[in-house]
Formats: sequence, structure tokens, C-alpha cells
Amino acid sequence: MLEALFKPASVAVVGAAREEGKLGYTVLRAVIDSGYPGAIYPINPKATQILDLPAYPSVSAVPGPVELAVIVVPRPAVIPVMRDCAAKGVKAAIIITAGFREVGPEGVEAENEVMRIARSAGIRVLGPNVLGLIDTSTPLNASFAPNMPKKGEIAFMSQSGAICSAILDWAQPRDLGFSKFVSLGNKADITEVDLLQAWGDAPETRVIIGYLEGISDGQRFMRVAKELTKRKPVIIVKSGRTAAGSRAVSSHTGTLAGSDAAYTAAFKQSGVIRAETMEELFDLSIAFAYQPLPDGKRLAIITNAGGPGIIATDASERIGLSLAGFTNETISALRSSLPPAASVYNPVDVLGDAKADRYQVALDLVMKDPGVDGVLVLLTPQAATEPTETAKVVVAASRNSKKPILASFVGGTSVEEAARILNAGRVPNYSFPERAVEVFAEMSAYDLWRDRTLDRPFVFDVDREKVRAVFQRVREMGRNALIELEAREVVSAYGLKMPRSELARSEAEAVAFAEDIGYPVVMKIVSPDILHKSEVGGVRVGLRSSAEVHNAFVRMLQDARRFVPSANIWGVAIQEMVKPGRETIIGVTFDPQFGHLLMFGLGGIYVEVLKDVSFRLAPLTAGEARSMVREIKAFPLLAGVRGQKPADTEAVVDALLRLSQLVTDFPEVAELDVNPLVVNDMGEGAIALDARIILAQETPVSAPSRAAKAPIASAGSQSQPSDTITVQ
Amino acid sequence: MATLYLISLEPESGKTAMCVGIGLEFQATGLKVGYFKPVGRIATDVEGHLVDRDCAFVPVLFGMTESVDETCPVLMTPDLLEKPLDGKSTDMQQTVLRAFEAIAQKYQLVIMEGGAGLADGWALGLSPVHLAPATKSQVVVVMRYRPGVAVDRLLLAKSMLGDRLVGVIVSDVPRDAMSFIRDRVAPFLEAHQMRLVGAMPQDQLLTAITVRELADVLGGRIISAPDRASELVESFSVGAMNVEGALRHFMRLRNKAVITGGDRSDIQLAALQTSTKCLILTGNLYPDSIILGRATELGVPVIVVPGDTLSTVNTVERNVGRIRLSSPRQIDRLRELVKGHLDLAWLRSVLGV
Repeated sequence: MLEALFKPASVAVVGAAREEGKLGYTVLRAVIDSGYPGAIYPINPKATQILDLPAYPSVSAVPGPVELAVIVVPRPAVIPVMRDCAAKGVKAAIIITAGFREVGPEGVEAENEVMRIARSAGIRVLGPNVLGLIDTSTPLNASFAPNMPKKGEIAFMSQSGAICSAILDWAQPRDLGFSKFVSLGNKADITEVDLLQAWGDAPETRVIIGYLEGISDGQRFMRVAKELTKRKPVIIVKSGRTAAGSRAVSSHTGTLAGSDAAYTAAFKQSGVIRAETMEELFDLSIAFAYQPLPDGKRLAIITNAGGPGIIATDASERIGLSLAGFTNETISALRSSLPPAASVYNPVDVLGDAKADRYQVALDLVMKDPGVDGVLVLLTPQAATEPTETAKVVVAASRNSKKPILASFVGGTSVEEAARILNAGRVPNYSFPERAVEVFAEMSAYDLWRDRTLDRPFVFDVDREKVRAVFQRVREMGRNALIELEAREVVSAYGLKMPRSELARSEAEAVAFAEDIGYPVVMKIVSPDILHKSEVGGVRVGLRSSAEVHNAFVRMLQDARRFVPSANIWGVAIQEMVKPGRETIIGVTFDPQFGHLLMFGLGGIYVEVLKDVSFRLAPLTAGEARSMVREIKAFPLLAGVRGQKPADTEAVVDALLRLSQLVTDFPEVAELDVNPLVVNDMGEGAIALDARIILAQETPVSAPSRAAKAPIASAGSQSQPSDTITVQ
Repeated sequence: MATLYLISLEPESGKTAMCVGIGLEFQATGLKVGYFKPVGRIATDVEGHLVDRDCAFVPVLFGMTESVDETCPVLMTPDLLEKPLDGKSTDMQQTVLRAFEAIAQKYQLVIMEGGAGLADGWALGLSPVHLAPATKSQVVVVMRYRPGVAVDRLLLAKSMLGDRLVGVIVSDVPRDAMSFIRDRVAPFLEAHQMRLVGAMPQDQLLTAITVRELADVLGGRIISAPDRASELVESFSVGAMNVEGALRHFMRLRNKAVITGGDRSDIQLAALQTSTKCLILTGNLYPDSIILGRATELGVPVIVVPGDTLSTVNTVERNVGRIRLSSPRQIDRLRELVKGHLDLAWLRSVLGV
């Protein structure tokens, strides 16, 4: 895919210049110097020859076919050039020229015109406002980055051109290779998702990495990534995570950064590895590119000093890795080969006087152990240490191994040569042990993801018509917030259990209902104008007699009128008081990029103060719902601590899946909260005590104008009737 | 000749809109309808003359040719208000009645708009209690809906106006309170010899303000999509929170204006992703060009205003919520609502026209 962009048969550089220092010169020079094997056509109406190549006045004047046009002309000339490209039958264009969407109204107009021409002529466009593109296997450097990187297995994309040039420069002394290198620019046509799709099929790419500020079509991104990450690791730095960062993204790219929780969920659910920092991005990509994946998370550590071994051990434990336990054979073999003072258990300490041969012995034995999934070799330069020789030993061991080997040769000058050898021998070497351990953890997590079979969202038998009717009634009343009474109807129609509730309009009615339901009862004010009932004294619990109910009714109405004088009050709901259980909260919000985002947490301080919550995007699979429940830090409280019985977490999973289906069936739900969902002991189910639903007035329009449909519309179309499991 | 005297018991009840809606509907049936406002309250400047705000446009809507002095003979000024304090007798009532007679002779029905309360104009002999018998008019009270009905004031009015007070219009009724008005309030009124002429539902279009009017009251400049300046804004939202909160809030409001700082590009984008009729950027800060481009592309006017967010919100609050009737769409909607929710046939029969 996108062959015309990455492997074109011919390239025209439109705006090629004769004078060194001009952009048009730099780009032409880059194409020539990259060793591009196809035909190169400089286009410049004022020149007949540039850099020893015959130049042409226009793209259409080129005698042969032109597949790729690299456009570096000033902005006013871009539109005529695009028309010329369309006439010539050019298949793809890289518009390096800036001054489009990013500069305001007239730029938007120009960019839209460019895209109208491109679409009608079937030209794929990278940019505008890009650094360009590099493909080291073609080879082709169609960018203004002067230095072509080394050939490698990492494909890199970036929404920032400056990051691109900085990384190219950074990679050079590190001898780091790339298969592709692309700056995305304004993403008028080709987006990160197109590149993911194209690179999924590119054999020269083993790892796909990226720096992104926003994703144009979140749901398509997830669909593509979910499938792709089964084949290749995708590692992304997504910036704009903080409030200030997201504001900066808005100013930079004109896109809404979107909620970080939604991105985190989207990445998790589609197997994308999220790097927190640029440094981590490269720590990870080098390991994924150079080393095989581990089959599990049991790490063996070999060290020549206690300290680094302990640091690595702590790091492993902290992030949930298990240190490998060796077999008896390994232990006795180590014992007989190493000095008596050496530690033969994991971490293996070969002692400070270890030379390369001792490392070799230990490494060979540990690698052979079936209980080991990967090895971390630590080295600190001491008097007798042979860093260079040891590096050679590690490289040799790695060459024949199906298990990953990572290294951390800690030091400066004395390990410099060793580091070079490790790097050249494709053994990732980290300046400190913790980074290596973190990388190994990501590798084993990715291995798990790759082996996991994807389950599908399942479909419950629910009363859709009922919900449709409630929503319509609410809208006809000119409201978009459902009162609890209505929200109850909706969530009950989707199979959530709720306590009995009756609407009382007078003191007498209140008492009659309470007598019928049986004491104690709960009373809640019912008004479309009061959403936060407890803030106005609108919720009373544990009322035990007719006198209490009577007085509460009068007081509640009076307080509500006093606090919210304009509120239209329907009455007071009299509810059955359910037996206490563990209180949880399920919330749903709408994210403009990804659609509905579900949140789960334990009620009270756990959500509000500790922010101990988990997020996933709808539609949920059962597996995803289960991990939502297990992911929160307070999960042990649900699983049962101190002799407490375990809670019915499957009932929570069921509620999550049913609400996920509700918002998928009804994309107009802007917000939904079930708070609290009281979870009883295992086998006894869960019951929702309160529900709040808010409908969107109108469907939000998708951020970039080119996205075909609003996210809310596509949210509806993503329920897959053909391949879902129906549960009665 | 008949006179319908629309009064209210407190300000901002929706009288003027009722005058316009009822008047235009009656005109449409072929009746000659005139408008008369005995006492002007809120002055506005029209071509150098101080005139009552309502009289500046209602007679025009009715197609009347009389001057403002004829349709509104008295405009309350500070001097006028102090006259009774000095014990000077005034002949204001005579002035008003003469002007009224002049109008009444020319029309089959005069719609007379009263002040904002029963006591309004009492000292000058110009209160509804004075003018209703003097003009032999049928009085209808326009009351804005309130949870818990203010029946006390209404019964006081009834006792003072007697048979002249024939009916009540409840305005600005939330849709889910319509049945309450019909089932509970109407029988109560009947029991006190008054008729529920109708309940007018709440309507956001009626209180909407155009983008241009907004720019005017805020002293701002429209810097994009000026061709959309006559679009109507129905609601307002202040974007001072984080983006997620803002987006959630914005999704709930239709045809809104979003007030935010010029430097809050995230909020501005969130607003542009939802149904937004205009962006009001405070502090005289221009938006990022990329956002101005997006607004232009979407056809959303951006108004840059000098005030800070707080003062802008205050100005907006002072200027919205009133029925404005500045766009033909609003007049059409008003007539539609009047036709659908008021018992115009009964009103005609009681007026005898």
C-alpha cells in the first residue's frame, strides 16, 4: 500500500533549485544522494539542467510517467502545480510547502482546494507542511533532511517535523537504522492510520513507532491497530497529556488533544505500547527491533556486583516481573563453574574479578535453563573486568539465541567500546539497569497480547424500544438530562437490577408507598432541574416510620425550593433500602476521538480522592470488562480481604457490558453514571441505586473536516451484528 | 371598538411578546389592530428622540403610521417621577386618555400594554386600576411560570379590577409543567371568575439573540464568518474549565455562544466540535490562526471583545433572557406558539370583535 509514495518508479522534485541553500536544492540533492534507483525529474521553468539532471518546466512536460511529485514551490504556486500533477496522472504527492491550515483562513481555503484537486485525480497526499519522507529500502530520501539514516527495521512517523530532524540527527552517532521515516504535517490526506496499514505489510519493517499529538479518526485507528499489533509491535508517544500540553497541541495542530484516559484505553485495547517519554520510545524500539520476544516474564540477571543486581531485582519486582527460578541442573552447573563466593541463584553474581570467560560460562548455563525467558547482563567496570571482551561474548550468545538478551554496562569511558560492540551486535545496552528491566517487561507484555485471541463484544437481549421511547419523551419535553425516574427505566431496560421506587406527590402518598415497600426506606427528590440531589438535601436514607417519612417529605420539598427556587419539582421518590454491599461506580463519557469511554471504580473516596479508576472504550469485550474490574488498585477490597467474602465481580462485569451495549446502541448518550452500583457477595449479584443520564443535544462534528462522519455516527455503526455473540 | 389591556404583576413577564403575537394573529384574520402604551418605561434613543423601547418596534410590526407620541403619550423621566413628591397635581391621566381616544377611533381593536405591576403609575393616576375602567378595557394578566403558583398577587388584582379582569396567560412554562397548568391552575381560575387564556411553553428561540446584537452589546469585533452574523444564539456557556469538562458541557447546549479567553485554543476547538453559533473571545486576544481558519471553514463567527471573561458574562446576563423579536424567525415562532396555545376564539368573543 502507498507504493507510489514509498517505492515510486519515478520522482519529480517540483521547485528544484540550482542554488545551494535553497530548499528546492536540498530536496533534490537528498533524492539523488539517497541512491534512488528510479528516474528523477527536477521541475523548474527557469532551468534546463540542475545537478547534472535535465530539468523540465512543468510536471506535464516530463517525457515519461511521474509517480511521485515532491512539491517545494512557494504556497501560491502549489495549487497550479497540483493541477499540473493531476493532468500528468501523478499518483502521490509530498507537499513540503508550509502556509496552509496552520496559518489561518486563507491557508484552510488553499488546503481544501489542494485536496479537491487531489481527490478528483486520485492523488494521495502527504502533508502539506512536512519534512518529507525517507524509505531506506527503496532507497529514497524525499525530504529536506540532508542525512539519510542507516537501513534498519524501525519505521518512524511524527506529527512534528522538528522532532523528525532531531531524531535523525540523534540516531546518527548511535548508528540507529530506520526502514521508513515520515513526517505527517497537516494530515490533509494521509494520516497515522494509513501509515500503520501500509507498514503492516512492509517486510522490511519490524517495529512501528511514532510521535503523535492527536489521532484523526480514533475508531479507525483502533480497528487497524488491533489487527496490526498481532503482527508487529506499535510503540507511540502521545503528547498533550496534561491540560497545558493539550492546549499546546490545540494551538500547534488545530486538533483537540482529547482525553488522555481515552487514549490510554484505546492503546490498551488495541495492543499499542505507549511510551511515556521519547527516551523510552527508543529504549523500547531498539529492543523490539534487535531481539526476539520472550515467551514469558521470567527474567534472569547476571551481574559482576551486588548493587546493580539488587537495583535490577527491585525494578523487576516493582513492575510485576518475576525473577526466574533456576532448575537444579543449572544451579549445580553454576556452582561447579563459578568461584565458591559467587551467587548461583538469580541474580547470578559472577563477582567483581570476573573476566569475559566467566560471564560466558554463566550466560551459557542460564540461557539453557527452561525456566528462563530472557537474560539481563549487568556489568560494572572493576579492576579485572574486561568490558570489551565481555561485550563480544554477549553478542555471540545473542546471535544464536531465541531468548532475548539485554545488557546494561554501567559506566562511561571504560565501557564505551563495549557499548559500541553491543550496539553493532544488536544487543540493546542501557546506561542503567532499571531501564533494561522496564523494556523486558514491555516485551513480555507484548508477547502476551500477541498470543491472546481477540474476543468480541457480546449482545444481550434488551428492551431497546423502551429506551427509545424514554429518550424521545425527554426530548419532547425540551430537556436533555433524564431525571432519576427516567434513567431507572433506561438502565432497567438493559437488565441492570434496581430497587423498587415509587413517585410520591404528597405527604400522604409518600407514607402510603413507604408502608407498602416496608421500612426502612430511602427518599429522593425528583426534579428535572436538580441533578445533584444530595447537595440540596434531596436524599434521605434509613427512614423508619410514617412520621419520619411525612416530615422528611415536607422538609425535602421546602429545602429544594429554597436552594433551587426555579426548580420544577415532581415529587419525592420512595425507594426500597437495599442491604449494604461494596459500593462501586460505573461512568460513561463521550470522547470526540474514540466515542464512549467507560469508567469503573470503587465508590466514595476511591474515585473522588484517590482517582483509583480504570477506563475502556465501548464496545467492551468480556475480557476488557474483566480487566477493568481487576485493574483498580482497590480490587483486593472486591476480591475479599481479612476474611471478607469475595464480591460478585462477575455481576459488575455484566453491568459494564450491558451499559457498554446501551451507549453503543444509543450513541446520543453523552453521559451516564450508575452511582452507586452496590455489589453483593459472590453469587448474589449487584444492584444499581441511582442512575444519571444526559443526552447530547447534537452530535459533535469530528475535528478535522476531512473525516467523513461525526464520531457519534460511527460509534453507532461499530456494533457488528454479524460477528457478535448473542446472550439471552 | 374594543380594548385588550395586557398587564403583569411583576416585570419581565412577557407582555410585549403577547401583545405582538396576539395582535399579529388578529390582524391576520382581517381585524384592524392598533397598539397603545399609556406609559413608557424604558427609553431608547431613536434618531435623536427618546422613545419607549417597545413603542420603537411594536407599532412598526403592526404597520401603524402614528407617531410614537401618539402610541405612547407619556415617557417616564426622572422629572416626571418626582412631580408627585412636590405635591404638584398633574393632568397626566387626561393626556393619556386623549391619546387613547385618538387611537381607539381608528382601530377595531386596541391592544394596550400596561406597566410591570398593579401599583405602577398609581401616583399619577396611570395604574391599571385607574386606566382599565377609564378605557373600558378587558384586562388579561400575563404571568411568568413559577414553581408554586403566585396566586396571592393574582387574587389581589382580581379584587381590585373586578369584572374587568377576565383572563390569565401563563408564560414561559416548562414543557413538563404544561399539564399542571391545564389540570390544576385552570379550574382554580374558573372558580375565581377568570379564564386561563393559555399557557405559553418555554422557547429558546424567542429569547435568542443574534450574533450581531451580541457583538454590539459587548463592544466586540466579528473577525470571521461575518455572513453568519444574523444567526441566533439560544444559550451561553463559559469555557473556563478543562477541555473534557467543557466538551461534556458543550454537548448539552444547542445553538450556543461560547465565552472563553482568546488564548484557550483547546476550549475554542471543543466549542467548534459541537453546535456553536459563535465564539466570544475575551481580553481582546485574537485566536491562533489555525483556529481562526477552522472557524472560518465551519462558518462560525468569532467575536473578539475587550472585556475580561467575568465582565463579558455579566454583560451577556444583563442582555439575554428577554424576548427580543429581532429576527423574522422569532416573530414566526411567536405567532405559531400564540396560535397553538392561546384560546384566541374565546378572547375575540369576550372582546366582542
